[in-house]
Formats: sequence, C-alpha cells, structure tokens
Amino acid sequence: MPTISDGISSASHAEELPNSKHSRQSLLAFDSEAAISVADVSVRYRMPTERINTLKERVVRTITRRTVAYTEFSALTRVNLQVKRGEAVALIGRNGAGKSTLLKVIARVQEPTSGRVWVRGQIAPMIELGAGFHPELTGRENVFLNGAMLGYSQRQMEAKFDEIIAFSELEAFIDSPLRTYSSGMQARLGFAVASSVEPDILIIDEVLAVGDEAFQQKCVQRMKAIRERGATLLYVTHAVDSIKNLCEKAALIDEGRVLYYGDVDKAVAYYRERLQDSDMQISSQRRIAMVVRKRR
Amino acid sequence: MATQLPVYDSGAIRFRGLFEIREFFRYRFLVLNLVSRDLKVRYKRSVLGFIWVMLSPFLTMGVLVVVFSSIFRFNTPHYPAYLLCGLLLWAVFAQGTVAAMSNLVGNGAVLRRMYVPPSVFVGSAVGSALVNLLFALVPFAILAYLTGVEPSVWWLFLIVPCLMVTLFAFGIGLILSSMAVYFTDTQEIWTVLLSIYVYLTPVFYPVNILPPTLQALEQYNPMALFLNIARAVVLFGTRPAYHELAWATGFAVGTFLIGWLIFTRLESRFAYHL
Repeated sequence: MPTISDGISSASHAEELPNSKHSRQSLLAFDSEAAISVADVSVRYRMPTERINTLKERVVRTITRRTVAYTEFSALTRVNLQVKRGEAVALIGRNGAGKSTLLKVIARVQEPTSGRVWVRGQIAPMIELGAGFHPELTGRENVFLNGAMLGYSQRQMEAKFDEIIAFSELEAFIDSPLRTYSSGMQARLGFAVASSVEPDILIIDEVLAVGDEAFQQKCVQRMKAIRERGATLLYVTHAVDSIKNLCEKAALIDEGRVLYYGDVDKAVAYYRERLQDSDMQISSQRRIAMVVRKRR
Repeated sequence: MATQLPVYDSGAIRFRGLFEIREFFRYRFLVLNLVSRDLKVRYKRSVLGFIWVMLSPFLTMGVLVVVFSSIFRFNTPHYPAYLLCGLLLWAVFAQGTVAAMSNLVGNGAVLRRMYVPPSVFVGSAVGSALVNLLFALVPFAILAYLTGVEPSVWWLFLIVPCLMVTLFAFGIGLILSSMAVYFTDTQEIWTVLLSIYVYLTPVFYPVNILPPTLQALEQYNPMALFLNIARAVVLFGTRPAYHELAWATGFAVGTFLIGWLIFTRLESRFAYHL
C-alpha cells in the first residue's frame, strides 16, 4: 500500500516560517508545564481525481492496470504550537484555514500524517455537541451513552447525572425520547454532558452559536468556572470579538500554517489585516503535488 | 498531581494491536452501553417490549419447525432441533458480521468528531448478536424439549460453541468493517457471499447428503465445526470430539487475531475515509 508521502519531495516544505522561533524547542520533548504540544505536525489528504470507492472498481483497475491520479492537499503544514497548563488559547483564521483539522489532531480524532502531538489530561471535545446521540433513546439514556463515548464509566456518570440535568434545564423532558427535543435542547444536553465531567482540557469549536442568549451566558459562565479550576482552553471561532474576554493568547492560522502565535490583540489585528486582502485565492502551494500512481 | 494526568503521545504508539486492546478495555462501558442501546432501540416501540426478545425467536422457530419438518424428510434424528441449532449459531455469524460493517460506517459521524477506539463499534455489533442468541436459547431449549430431545447437563456446554462463533464473527467483522470504510460495496458483496456460505455449511441439511469429497472438506469449515460441537451436546448429550474442539478453537482465536491485526493496522486512517 503506497503511503501518503509517495511522490512528495521533502524539499517542498523546506522554507522556514517567519515565526518558527518557538517551534524548535517543542520538538525536543513534552514540557512538564505544557498541556498541549504540537510539534511539526502536517496533515495531508489525498484526493483522488476520480473517486474509487467500490471494491469492484478497485479490482477491475488492478486487473486492467489503469493508473489512478491523486491530488495531495495539505491541510496543515509543519504546525508547531505549545499551550501551557491553564492557558486559554484561541485559534483564528479564515474558513478552510486548517483550524478544525488542528483541533481534531489534538483531540485524537485524526492522527497527523507527520509530526507528533502530546496532550496531557482528559479532553472534553466540543467539536460537535451530541455526536452519537440516538433519537430513539431518552435524554437520560443518551446522557449515559454520550458519557461512555467520552470515556467515562457508568459510576462517574451516575455521580454527575443530577448536575447535568440541572444545568441543561431539561428535568421535565429527561425521560422523553431525544427525537422530541428541539435542536437547541439537544445542544444544551450535549454541552451539559461534555462540560460536567471536569476535563483538564476543553476544546471548543463554535459550539456557543447554539441555544438562546441566556443559555449562551450560562455556557460562558461554566467555561470560566472550568478555567478557574485550572483547565486549559482551546477555542475556535470566527467571532473574534468574543475571544478577547476568554482567551489571553491566540494563534492565527492561514493556509495550514501558524502565521502568528501570541498576544490575542495582536493576533486579531493581524487577522483583520489578512482579511483585507481577501483577493488572495487559496494558494496553489497547498495543493502540493499531483501524484499519479502506476499499478504494476 | 500534574504527573498523574494521562498523557496522549501520538508518536508513542508502537504496537497498535496491543494499544487498541487497552483502549477497548478502557471503553468497555461504551461497549455495554451500545449493546443495551441496540436491544432497547429494537424493542422500544413494540407493545410487548422486552418479552418480545424471547417471544419473537420462539414464534419464528416454531414456524420453522412446522414448515421444515413437513417439507424436508431428512433421515436425521431430531431434525427440528438440528435445524434450529444451526440457524441460531448461523444468525450470530450473519448478524454480527453485517452489523459490524454498518455499525462502524454508521458511526462515522462520531469517529470524525471525537476520539473513540473504533474497535468498540465492531465489538458492540458482535456483542449484540451474542446477546440476541443468549435470549433465544431459552425458547430454543423449550422447543428442543417439546420435539423430543432429552435434556442433559451437556446443554450447559453449548455456551462454548456460542462463544467460538462470536469470536469468529468478531474476527471476520473486523476485516470486513475495515474494508467497508474504504469500499462502499463491501456490504453488498458480503451479503452475496454469506448466502453462498450458508448453503456450503450444513445449516439446513445433514452433512451425510453431501458427496464424500465435500463432506471431507467440511472439517475445515469453521462454521461447520462450531455447529457440529453445538449439535453433539444439544441433540445427543455427548462430549464433542477433542480434535473438533481443538480445530474450532484454533479457527476462532486465529481469525480473531488476524482480524484484530488488520483492523488496528488500518484504523488510524479511518477518520479520513469515513
């Protein structure tokens, strides 16, 4: 089986980034003060120019010895990022910049194509709330199912159950099937489960756009409470104004690279500048290589 | 306190097969939850609720006994129980492998959003098939008794071939489901292969109607071995042959190990393809 790196010359990544000073030391080892360390991480997708997703077609092509063409797409290119324990860091950047991919790599959803990731402690990923909810089960059953998906035991969930229900304000509906819930109610339940279990690291991807204003306030309060316990926060959003009162640092990501990592005000300023010259098309650099694989 | 926190290091996973076993164990509550979810969802909307778990196989098996024993006239002792025993174990294999694929692919949305060891979804699919079988064993015992089979302490040994089939189905399910992530037609192809395999295995018919060459091959057919063991203990209350037990154990464990290695080798790319 050919690997992803087939046909990609390492030289194409060789250029140094302007802000890669902090990157070298993170390569050494996992700092005991760090909660998250991302060292030289790249994520590349291979997109076949014609998609082959049936076994029949694969067999036919193997027999007829036809070639398959792929386009390599680099979602993240040599990203370095270190977050200390207790820090709150925002990831900002345009659509398709690679923010969500970076979150997924940190949350163990994807493994990096190259590079290394360290994470210390229990992660509560709020990448999409209520992933894994089942519409036919009751709210109560879904709380336990969702908790188990986050890696918690039955006993841990029993201990937290009352608090989860109280926070989500769904006492009256908790024994109704989830299909009778509105999407706002489902999001409330999802947030309550994911945030109740005392995570060491909270990863939030735009989830606060759900629910009414009162509930959003509650969510922000809870995030602050989790922060005060010493948890680390990683936050992705397009609403850059909202990050300033939650985060002290920010990383500006564009085209799969970290352009700036540091003070949140500066990052936002750079981001705004960046948005100004929006004529910049998705650069051809990211589409790094066209690989034509010959089957022998 | 800080040093006690678990550390995830993407570069430290050396033996993925072993690593995944640990992760599977760590998420055992999820496996139990998923199995009970399957059961609950299946019976939630039915009026009879949980009684249906046993009543449904009882009725299905009752119909089969009536239909098959009046159509087929095999000169095999206890044909109704022979047939049911075969069908029950076959159902674990068929349901388990098919559900393994649909469970893994169907939970793609979860695997794209949060970390869950993917083997959990295959394990829960096979686990559900096993739980269904265990519930069906009660009506099976009743029907076997009603059709004239002598009860025996060897009936308790039936759990062994049941677990063997489950482990075998787990192994095949792991291979199939990791293929199904890449190729969408794996599920259809498997349905066809299953329907061929069911006729190659003495599920409906006694082995002795086969030509001698095929009969000799059946001792290398894992499903035929599991069925033989189950039938020996249930129908005749006798100890299964040692060589059959050895071969059957080898097939079950070996298939599971091969499946586990293939699956864990491919799983790091699942999130990209699901």
